[in-house]
Amino acid sequence: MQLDAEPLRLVLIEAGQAEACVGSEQVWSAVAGELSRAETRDVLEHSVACGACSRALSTAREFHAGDPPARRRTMPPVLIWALPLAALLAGVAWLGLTGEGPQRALQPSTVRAVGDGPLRSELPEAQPLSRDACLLDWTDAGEGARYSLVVTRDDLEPLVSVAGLEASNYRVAAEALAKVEPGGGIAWRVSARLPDGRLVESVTFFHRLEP
Amino acid sequence: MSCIPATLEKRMALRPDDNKAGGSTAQADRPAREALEEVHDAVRRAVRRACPRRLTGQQEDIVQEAMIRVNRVLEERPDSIESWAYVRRVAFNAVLREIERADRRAEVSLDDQGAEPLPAPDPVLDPSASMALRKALRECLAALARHRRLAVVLHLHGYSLAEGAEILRGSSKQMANLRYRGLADLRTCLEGKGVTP
Ligand SMILES: [Zn+2]
Repeated sequence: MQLDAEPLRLVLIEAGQAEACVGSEQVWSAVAGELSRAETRDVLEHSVACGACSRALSTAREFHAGDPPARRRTMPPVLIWALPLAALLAGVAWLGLTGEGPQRALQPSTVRAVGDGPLRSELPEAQPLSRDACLLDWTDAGEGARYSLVVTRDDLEPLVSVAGLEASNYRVAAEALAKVEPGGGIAWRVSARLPDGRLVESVTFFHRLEP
Repeated sequence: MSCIPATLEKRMALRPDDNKAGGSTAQADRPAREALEEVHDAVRRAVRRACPRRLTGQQEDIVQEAMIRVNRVLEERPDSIESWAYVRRVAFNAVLREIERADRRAEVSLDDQGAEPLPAPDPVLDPSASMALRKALRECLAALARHRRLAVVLHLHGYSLAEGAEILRGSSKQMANLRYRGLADLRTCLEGKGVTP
């Protein structure tokens, strides 16, 4: 009997979601090379029993199809050209993205930004957030910085928008998350106005709420 | 065919930052449009790859719905510092969400019909045959030695030997060996269960 890959892959993506699903964000991170090898292997193992994650794996692979294996966190060339020059000049957030090698676990909590460095999340994206204690936490941009925060559902439905924050964290009220289904995704980004007037922006962070 | 709205395309072409980056409008708007097309192509490819075969007839609807979500992102955040990385991520979520929605719609319409599904010769489309095959495949994959199983799963999802070797921390040659042995074990196991994919 000949074993072709494609019919077998199609069987895997037919299945339903496993009960203890790792979530599509984790699959994305695995394919993007953002997880450690061990974590990536765990995701692959899980996908055997989870149709949803097999579909996520197939989907994520397509969105990373052009990425060279050794530089998986790099944008395709055409997309780099499309980046606004202002963003490139301010481009700290982008450097933050490209500075990581493939398969290296992202450890935002160990990378502290200072001054006008990039704003990073202090929360691992793979970690689901509690609806009742949804504390978003990011690196301190230095004394006198004022933060603006935008939180949306992962389909961009706005949830929270606040400005003038002095602390580098914000607790999202459970009521604001009412529009997010259990296990649903949120996206958030933060910007900091520094005392000298400069604006520093984070990339967008994605999380799942607890099921 | 592009499903990028003309207004959006025009606005993308006129983005001042792009003009700065490219030096002229003609140079600047081409990459933005190409980038949009690239996302659209990726959405189309992803839907084709990730759509269960029971939803084959709805693939184009799924692509369109996903692109509507993506276009909303571009409408709302055209100048975001990481908009392209963000768009790609949103497109990924949109594809999965639309496949789930299409699946739910299909379930509802099957319930509405109240009829038994027509027998299908294709095991993937025939629910009972598909379930038997899926069960056998899972059991056989689970029975493989871990590294062989991982090598097979990577292979099924189109990972190259070099990519797989990087994840399994080995050489391409070791990867090829694991894949070969894993597929052989899998074939023997499936044959033992009397199922053919
Ligand atoms: Zn899963």
